[in-house]
Amino acid sequence: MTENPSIWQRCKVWFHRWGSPAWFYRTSGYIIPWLWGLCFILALPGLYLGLFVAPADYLQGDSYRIIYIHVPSAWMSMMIFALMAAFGLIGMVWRIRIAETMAICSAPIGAAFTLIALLTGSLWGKPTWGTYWQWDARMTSELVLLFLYIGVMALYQSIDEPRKAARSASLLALVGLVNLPIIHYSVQWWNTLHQGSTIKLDIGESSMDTSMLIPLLLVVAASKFYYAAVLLSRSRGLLLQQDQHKRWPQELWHANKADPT
Amino acid sequence: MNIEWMHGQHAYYIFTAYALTLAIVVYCALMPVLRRRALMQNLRLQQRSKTVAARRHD
Repeated sequence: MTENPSIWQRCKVWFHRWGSPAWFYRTSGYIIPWLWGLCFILALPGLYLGLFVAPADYLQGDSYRIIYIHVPSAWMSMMIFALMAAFGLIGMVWRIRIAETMAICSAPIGAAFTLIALLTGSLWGKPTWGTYWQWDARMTSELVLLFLYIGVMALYQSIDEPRKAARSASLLALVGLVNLPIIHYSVQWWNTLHQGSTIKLDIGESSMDTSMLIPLLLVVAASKFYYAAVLLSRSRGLLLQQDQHKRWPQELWHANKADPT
Repeated sequence: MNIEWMHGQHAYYIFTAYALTLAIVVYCALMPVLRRRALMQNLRLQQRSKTVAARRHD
């Protein structure tokens, strides 16, 4: 080994350190408050601008203000599922336990976001469409996503050995990935009640005024930090629960570093 | 500051949506913290009982 390791080698060592439960537990404890801070810094002005500054929509009136929670939740529900499958794949291929833990801990957060998307969507649908629910392609595929999350959590709970359970649940998450393009393209593939994409990140301009778009993007960014903070928090808890009879939690406790936050 | 919508016909739907979201988001954020605290308490009790057992043995 060279005396002065390169930046690449240092990054590699830093990345591999995350594989140690003790290091993960301690380091994530320092990161979580920063993630919460960023989440609040973005969410509070976003919600303020969305609820109290943005004008009413010319067609939907004020009911459109629900999108400031509906759209970020719907996006997060799909992003978390993709990340859960990615963590699961890393866990299955490289047998990294932290990746398996993060895959499993992503499931309840993703399910919560999916539930929020469905509830707020139906509360927006009533004044806009005149109905809380319709067996429309977008709504039905989002409901299937919720069932997939519940399936992943149920499968994990049904197997006693945690690592085997995590691998089985990861496999289900990988199979469930097929639902994501169905959700995304459902409004294009079928004639649905649900409107098409208002915000276009790739081609074309968003059909939304800047005064309405900026608060939405702030809340979208805040939801990412919320997910990261809750994911790390859940992962710490699960690692501590699984390893409570091992040496590292006791060593951390003795060193009075178990709860740096 | 635009607060007219609070008295409008859609206020019920907006308030309900935000209240439900807040409840779910707070629950998801607090549960892991409370769970971990309970585990730490358990660990502390285990350590204490081990110390007491070691003292008795001495």
